[in-house]
Amino acid sequence: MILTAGVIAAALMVTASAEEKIHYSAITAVEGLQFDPVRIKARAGEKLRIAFFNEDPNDQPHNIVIIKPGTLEEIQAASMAVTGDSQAKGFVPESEHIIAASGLLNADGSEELLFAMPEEKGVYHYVCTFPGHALLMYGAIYVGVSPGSITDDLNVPAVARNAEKERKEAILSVERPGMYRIFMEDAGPAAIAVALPHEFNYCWDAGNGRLRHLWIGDFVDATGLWRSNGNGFAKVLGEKIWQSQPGEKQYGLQFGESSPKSFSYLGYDLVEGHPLFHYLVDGKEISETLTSSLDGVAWTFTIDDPDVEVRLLAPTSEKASISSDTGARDGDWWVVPQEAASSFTLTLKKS
Amino acid sequence: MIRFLILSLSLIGTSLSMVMADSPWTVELVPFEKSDDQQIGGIDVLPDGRVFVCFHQGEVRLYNPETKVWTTFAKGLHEPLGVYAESESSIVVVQRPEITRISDTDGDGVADRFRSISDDFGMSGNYHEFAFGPIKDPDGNWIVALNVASNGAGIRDEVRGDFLEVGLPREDFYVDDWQTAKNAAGRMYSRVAWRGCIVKIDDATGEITPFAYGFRSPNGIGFDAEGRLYASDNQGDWRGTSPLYHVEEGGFYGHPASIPWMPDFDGRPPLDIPIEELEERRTPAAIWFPHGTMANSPTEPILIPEGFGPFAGQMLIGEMNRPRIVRLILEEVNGVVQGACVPFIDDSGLASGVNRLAFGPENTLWTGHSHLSWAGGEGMTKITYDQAVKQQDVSSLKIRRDGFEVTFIEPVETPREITLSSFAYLYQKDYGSPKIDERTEDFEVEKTSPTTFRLTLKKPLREDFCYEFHFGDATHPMVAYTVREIPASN
Repeated sequence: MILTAGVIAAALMVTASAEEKIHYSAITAVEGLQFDPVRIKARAGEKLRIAFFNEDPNDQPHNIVIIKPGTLEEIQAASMAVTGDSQAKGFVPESEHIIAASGLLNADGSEELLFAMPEEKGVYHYVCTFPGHALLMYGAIYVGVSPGSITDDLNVPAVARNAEKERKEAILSVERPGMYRIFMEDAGPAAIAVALPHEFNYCWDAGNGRLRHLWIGDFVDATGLWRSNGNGFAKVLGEKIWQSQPGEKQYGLQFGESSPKSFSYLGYDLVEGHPLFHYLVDGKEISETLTSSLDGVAWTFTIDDPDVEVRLLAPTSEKASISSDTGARDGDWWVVPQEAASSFTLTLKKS
Repeated sequence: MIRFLILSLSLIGTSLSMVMADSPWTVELVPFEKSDDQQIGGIDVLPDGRVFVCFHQGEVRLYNPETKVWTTFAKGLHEPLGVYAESESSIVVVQRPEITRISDTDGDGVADRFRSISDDFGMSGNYHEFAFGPIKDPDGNWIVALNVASNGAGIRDEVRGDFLEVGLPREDFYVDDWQTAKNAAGRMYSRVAWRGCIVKIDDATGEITPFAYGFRSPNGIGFDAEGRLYASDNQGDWRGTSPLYHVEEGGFYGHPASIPWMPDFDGRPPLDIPIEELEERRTPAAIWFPHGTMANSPTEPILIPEGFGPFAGQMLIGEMNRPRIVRLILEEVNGVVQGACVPFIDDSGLASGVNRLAFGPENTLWTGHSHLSWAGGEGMTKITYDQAVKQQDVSSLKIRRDGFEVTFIEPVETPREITLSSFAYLYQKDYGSPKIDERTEDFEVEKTSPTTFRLTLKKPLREDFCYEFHFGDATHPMVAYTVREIPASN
């Protein structure tokens, strides 16, 4: 009898602990008024523990409010109706549709929510109800419902739904020739990315008048920059075949042996879509452009009345060759004699 | 004159409620192709009504309101955040790296010449170093506001311009553990030229002269009818709530990051300067926008022209976080500009994120919306005024020695509920501020004209406090007046 009772007690305990099993999810508020992840799954009636982190680098306060199916629009509208005591309530609106809510967390804050999911199956939402955030900042909890493909999922914000689509568009949308002034790796912050015909691409630095790198293939992926406030880099797609050395005060061109005493970027003209850059080095005006053929890239300079030899920073590369019928190589420099320096062209080819 | 005694701040009036139709201002959405980038950084209108608009992903497009057709004028700019239309073939744009004149020289409607007016300011590569403007001063100089960097990120391996060695050493910006370094950098920092300053740029030479200092994120500059310059700023460090500043040459507006760019900089890192010293130096805000209720992120201030309703000569300012445009009622007291803010359009079909505003011919107001990674919206709206539609609201609010004088647009027989509270915000390094020293105010109301009432407070007015009214008669009841100066007489 005693043994039997013990077995029953043990069985009950197992049952009880199975019921107490807690489903754990971590959800983070990230840059761009978004939750990450934007979709989670749960079971009807189970206990859910959500660890919520505010890691938004833009110092935005956020909360997370779990709401019943079909009530997102109502809660979004309610979150905009700020009254005198909204702040005291952490900007959580009064609503019977709210299942659980965190406090309002400042950047780097975190909080754990523990609550039971209702028994009804459906698509629940989590939303930040800080005024102005709710229209963009929400995610979905799938309870007994299949989430399906995110690109077709109307339960998540368009930005999450379109991320993959946008990435493809960002890559493909450039017309060749075409250009963007945009943050690029291995260049200064005043970088310009240019797409040439024949799948050649280059990065030119307006901060120091210098060709920084050359690559073959697709242009850049700017999705990260365009979806945010511009933090980050446009990613080079394709294969880099040539690159100049780092250095913010390293200029691309100089007269004779000495570094430029002055540099001034003037701008560019679009010549059949190709930027023709203009800048001053030690007071002399220089124009520079790159054009392409199937063969390679022609890198052309015109210089207003050069009175000494011109030295162009053109380091060698294993993946590309640099040549010209004018001047000769001297280490990392291509040196053009004074008498030929008013107009000359170098050719960059893939090795 | 009728004199009412208001007991404990409220009174339920018996005035005949005016029959109010819809708003006199109609908000219309401008159509876009779905795939278009619709985050707007700048708007300006040509005399013929066509609208130049620049976008987050670097395009400048020209919108023809008659045909509702967009044409692309230029592409490939780096986060343009302001455009000034010189003609149909020439515009001036402020983008991250420079102020640029963009021209169509061959008359095909597409820009082919991009000339840097000036790029003689620093870029650390930090994402928060936005550049706002340009507006043109009466001498033909460009006024541009340069944002500081945010310690939400560090700086780039290569910066443009000289890096200022004051405070956190440059090499410490490149440590792996940015979370540790960020506090030493300061929440917002200015380590390359003119960050946190409003600058003046000579159109011909490109020479940049710092004009005023102490800004954080001044996403909005504009002149009033008297030619006074204003800049808005965003709640954050050293900004208890979002402010509007009346900007004067050489002034310091409270955020210390840009102190190294001041002519009398003595070498002390900004974060080492005692707050008492900063307090002494700074010019406080002309207007505080109460955070959470009035505006969380005010944008561009713009003068209201004649013909757009009863508020000509006052200003409007956009707000990012809610579908709202705020109206500014400014006055000069003891030589100091101060005043009130009140919602002008709330919702009514407007999107959030009113980033830029521009008036065109026939008193059309265009709004451009944006959000980047913050709260806001997208797209563009056209707002027009119909004088046949009347709307009751506060038309002016003036300070008196012992209270305020409020004027409504339409006559008010007996005022409905009026409530008033006063509070202040802290000037501090920490992000934002709670409301402090808040109290409700008791007052008497006296009618001085069919539209005007005097509110005489029981307690003396407090300088450097915000007085937040709720007028039961107004369509937009909340009006917040920031008291810097109290007039000596009534």
